[in-house]
Amino acid sequence: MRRLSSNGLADMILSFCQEQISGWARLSGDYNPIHFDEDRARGAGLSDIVVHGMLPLLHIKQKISNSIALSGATEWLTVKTVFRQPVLRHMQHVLDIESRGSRSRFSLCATQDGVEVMSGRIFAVNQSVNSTEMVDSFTVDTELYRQKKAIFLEIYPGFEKAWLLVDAITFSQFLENEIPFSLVKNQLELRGVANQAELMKSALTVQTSHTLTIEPSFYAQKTAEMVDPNEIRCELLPPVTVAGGKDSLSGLCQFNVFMDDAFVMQSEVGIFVRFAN
Amino acid sequence: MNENAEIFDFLQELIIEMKDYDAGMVQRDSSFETLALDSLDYVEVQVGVKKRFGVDLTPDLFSSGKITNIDQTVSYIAKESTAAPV
Repeated sequence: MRRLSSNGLADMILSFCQEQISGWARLSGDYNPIHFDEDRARGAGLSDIVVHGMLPLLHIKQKISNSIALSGATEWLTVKTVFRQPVLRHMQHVLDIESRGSRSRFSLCATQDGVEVMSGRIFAVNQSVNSTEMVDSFTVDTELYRQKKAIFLEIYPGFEKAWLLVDAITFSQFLENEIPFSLVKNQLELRGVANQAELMKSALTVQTSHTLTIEPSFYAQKTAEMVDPNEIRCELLPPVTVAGGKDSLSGLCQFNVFMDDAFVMQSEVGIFVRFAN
Repeated sequence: MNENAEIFDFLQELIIEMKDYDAGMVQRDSSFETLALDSLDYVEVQVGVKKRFGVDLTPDLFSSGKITNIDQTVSYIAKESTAAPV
């Protein structure tokens, strides 16, 4: 494995207000009440409203996109993140990225008490991931791509790499197509939950991890220099679910992203669902 | 390489990467207590094992004390594995 080259890895302070939370919800379509309703957040055992995990992660990825370069033309870059604790509204967090040759690690910690809320690894992989086991798919057409791109560029004007945009768009459509619901559908039918919105209301549903593996030329691509695709196609791989006990389960949803048939990314989303007793 | 060795190598690499440990930290007789796995680490091990070997490591295996170290985990996965490692 070759070395990753890096620069500009100074610590960064991150904090998110309700307007920023609403901005991510507008882009992603994620209106889970724990991001908006203090009572719901407190009911889930939290002290305040929770920031969508993908929002600080977007800022971390932006930092990565500006500071870590792939040295090989054939190696894909993986950014693997575990959401360890909720990121709470208004709280300050410090991001530390440590580069160690072939792999880097990052950590996001609350400045108030030092608790690590996110941790991750960044490393190059030598070959693309398997794309032969598709069980379902969803797509983004040009019109939807342009709508989402306009929102993204309005909210995050300095985020210039295309993979940041496509990651956000495909994640929003992952939610729009109710993939988290389909992951746990069999268990939910027994509890009378009919769709994803009901799932968000009736059970604590949180994202526990996100892994993105990006094709090397796409990693360097800027949105402004890219022709809008006719279609982004996301091919879902067989999901993985594991029981967490009587009232909870964890799962991993994986999908491969193709832009006009070019395989550019693989995304893996970890989900945890805990039902009310 | 036999199946048990493949399973051990998989778990060793997963935990080393996950916890940023040196290779010597994860041995066959390493207990989960000494490896200091938290609940999300267990989930990552559970999901990784399910994805790779198709085996469910249910929480009661750990909470009941049936599985307390890496070697017991390797043996359990080898016994329960329904699909050859990929």
